[in-house]
Amino acid sequence: MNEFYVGYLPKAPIGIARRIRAVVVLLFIFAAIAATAVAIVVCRAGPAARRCKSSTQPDGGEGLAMTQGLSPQGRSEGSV
Amino acid sequence: MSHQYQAIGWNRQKRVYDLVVLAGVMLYIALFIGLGALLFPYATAETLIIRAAGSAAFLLLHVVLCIGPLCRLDSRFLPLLYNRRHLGVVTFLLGAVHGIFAIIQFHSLGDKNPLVSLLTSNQNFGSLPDFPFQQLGFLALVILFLMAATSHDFWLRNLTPPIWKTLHMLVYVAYALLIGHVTLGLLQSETSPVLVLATGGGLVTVLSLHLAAGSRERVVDLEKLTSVGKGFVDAGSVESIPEKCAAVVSVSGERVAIFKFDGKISAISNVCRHQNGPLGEGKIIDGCVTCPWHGYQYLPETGASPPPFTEKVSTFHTQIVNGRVWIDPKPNPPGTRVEPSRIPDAGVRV
Repeated sequence: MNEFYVGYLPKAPIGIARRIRAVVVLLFIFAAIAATAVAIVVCRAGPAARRCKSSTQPDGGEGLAMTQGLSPQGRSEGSV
Repeated sequence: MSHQYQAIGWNRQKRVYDLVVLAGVMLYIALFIGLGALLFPYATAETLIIRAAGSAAFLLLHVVLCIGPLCRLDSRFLPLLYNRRHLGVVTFLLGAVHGIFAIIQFHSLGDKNPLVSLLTSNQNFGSLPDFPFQQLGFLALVILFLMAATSHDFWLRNLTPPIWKTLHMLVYVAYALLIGHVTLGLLQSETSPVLVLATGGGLVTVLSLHLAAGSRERVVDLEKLTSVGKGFVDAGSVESIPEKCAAVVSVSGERVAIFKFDGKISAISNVCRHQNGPLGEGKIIDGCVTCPWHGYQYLPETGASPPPFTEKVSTFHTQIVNGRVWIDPKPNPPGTRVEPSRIPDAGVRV
């Protein structure tokens, strides 16, 4: 394992190139599996998230945060 | 190595690296949003973008954190480290997309400033289920921004390596904040064990790799070297050092890289002036010790970078007695010339 490569050198030794190719392929496979699994799990979990399932916000239950503070429509300017 | 600052000193490796990173991120985002829209048509585009970008940033941060220890354990991973700062910047950009869309969606419709709303709308710091996890994510994003903004060598030079390194070690604080952000946010409402296991698995992987790499370093630090007259210490046999490579020993609390090249032995500090890279894991190329991390170079006799570069590391006096290397534990000032010790009866290989 006496191979050595720094990024500005023209060509990586064959052992290092092979290892990096394998890592990249594995990372791509991992990315595909992770995207699929996380998308399914997170999107399914969405409606129940933050414990505020909302009929108006069924996509993620973010209604809690959205309704915090008084909306601009909820009061008139200058009202007391 | 470059002498002048450029936004990015492009070369073939950097182009390939960035293209691969871009392709990987696009694959993840496209799959996530495509599947999310297909399986859960009620989810809005903004929601899918928030989740896709957030999870991609979190996963990418794990990859960034694993690269360092992987390279210490196996040098064949080094090409991943050469451009790691690009991965860090992409991680920040994904986190920024997540944060900006989240602020717009969750905090921009009230009468408060969205940032004020983000920081003040939830004050339940005493409650685990209702903990204000968004603030944790915001703090992590601020750290990632500072790191991305100062990732260029211009800032490394102007902040000085110790300050720059300290600033960039904050990535571990950002990671801890993000673990809290995910654990106290999404995982509080998650009934499936998949995300809990994935988050825990990621944390265990990052910790294990760091511990494994750290324990390997510790072996070098704990090794006691025999001392003789004049204070020189026995640093091992000449035979054990591969040609144009180094053996690393710990002398008086400092790691020293002892290089063998062309029938000679020279010893310099093991710590690269650029980013504290391990020079002893590098190799002599074109007569210069070459750091394995980013290729900074030093002449083994002087510890100085060849002109026009100005980096310098400490040198150490050496002797060869009965096939063993003896080293003076007292470091010379950086850049001090020390004549290499000739290996008796060594055939010079070029």
